[in-house]
Amino acid sequence: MRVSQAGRSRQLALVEDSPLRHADPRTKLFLSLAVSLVVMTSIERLLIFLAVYVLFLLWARLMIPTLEHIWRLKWVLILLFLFDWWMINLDHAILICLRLILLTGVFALFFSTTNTRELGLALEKLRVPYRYAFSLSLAFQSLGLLDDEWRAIREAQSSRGALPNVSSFWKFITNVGDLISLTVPAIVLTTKRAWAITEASYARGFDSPHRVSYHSLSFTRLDFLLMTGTIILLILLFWR
Amino acid sequence: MKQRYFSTFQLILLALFSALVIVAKIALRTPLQMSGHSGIFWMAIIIVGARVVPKLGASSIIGVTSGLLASFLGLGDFGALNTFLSYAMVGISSDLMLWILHGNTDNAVIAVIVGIFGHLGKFLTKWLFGIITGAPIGFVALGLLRAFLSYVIFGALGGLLGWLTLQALKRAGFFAYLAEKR
Repeated sequence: MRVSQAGRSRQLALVEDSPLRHADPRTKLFLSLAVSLVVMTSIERLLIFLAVYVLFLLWARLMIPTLEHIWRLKWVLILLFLFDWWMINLDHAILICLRLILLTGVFALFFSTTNTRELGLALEKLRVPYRYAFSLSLAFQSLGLLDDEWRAIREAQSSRGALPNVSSFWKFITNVGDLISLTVPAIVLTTKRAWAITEASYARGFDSPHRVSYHSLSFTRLDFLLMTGTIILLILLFWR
Repeated sequence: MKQRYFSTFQLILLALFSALVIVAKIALRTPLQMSGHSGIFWMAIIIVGARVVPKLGASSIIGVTSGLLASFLGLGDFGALNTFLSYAMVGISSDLMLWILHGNTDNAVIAVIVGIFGHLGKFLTKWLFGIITGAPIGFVALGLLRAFLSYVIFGALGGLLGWLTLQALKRAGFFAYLAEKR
């Protein structure tokens, strides 16, 4: 899955060789949420936890995606560290930066090892109605198509000279009404596509009351191990 | 058959609007180096979505779904949690404003107010993220003051663009077409 526009591209990057790919998405969600709680501990415990967490990331082969997330924050981290050190003290500066690093990288555990179909199945298991879980997968699968349509609209309007000049803030504000040359066709095309998908879904028995999933999730030994380990670690960290 | 709150068509439409929010976010390239400028398109899409599916919760569904999509695509600089919450808050705060104002986005003033407060939902998430991590309030406030103004301006412009889009769609007979499909 890739969405790319004007030289910027975004891609779903699953780490296929991670052992966490075999874990249930619910377990990974639990892990991510549990690890997020650790930001509330003291600096000593946070450092101990980070040592364990780094080993875990190495085992899960998620060190690189996590570092990539953190790298994007480098300037904020540097500024925050220097500011905190100057205004308060070194301990506080380290604590704040560690918290930010942890919160920034922690959901890489989930999003780098789960695809949207698995998330849909997990949501179903978590009692989210199937229709909502389906709409999430649908939205993801439609990204590429909508991206193409958006690009086509831009090019068509640009060739007609209908796109406003947004080279400066004031031009942007005064020409904001002209941006409907992009939004109106995008909304109309999206609605037409939504209708086509609705008809196709009904034709395939989407609203059938006796629908069963072809794939289903179940906990394995790995899930129990990960969950138990996390709970024990949290109890130890928050003990007194 | 059980009456559903959102019809299948409405749910699919909201899902596609969520995808459109992400596409617009990635596609929008302006030379303006101002935080929140991409909000102009996504607020417009949310405003239109709230009118096309005039039910409480429609904007929230767009927000939550686009938040999940953005997290999967690795958008945002502060990690997936912050990204998800930011996008979700845009939808939830838009819904909240629509509920408080008892109105729909056909009214230009309501559309602009919803645009501002919806966009400020994202700003609020960033601010809370700073507070939770314990970043010094002064530092956060200093950095976010300029961003706050920027979010208000682009939220209002997004609301206005959404309203203009709705008027153009109305003139083009879009809602008559939609009524047939429902």
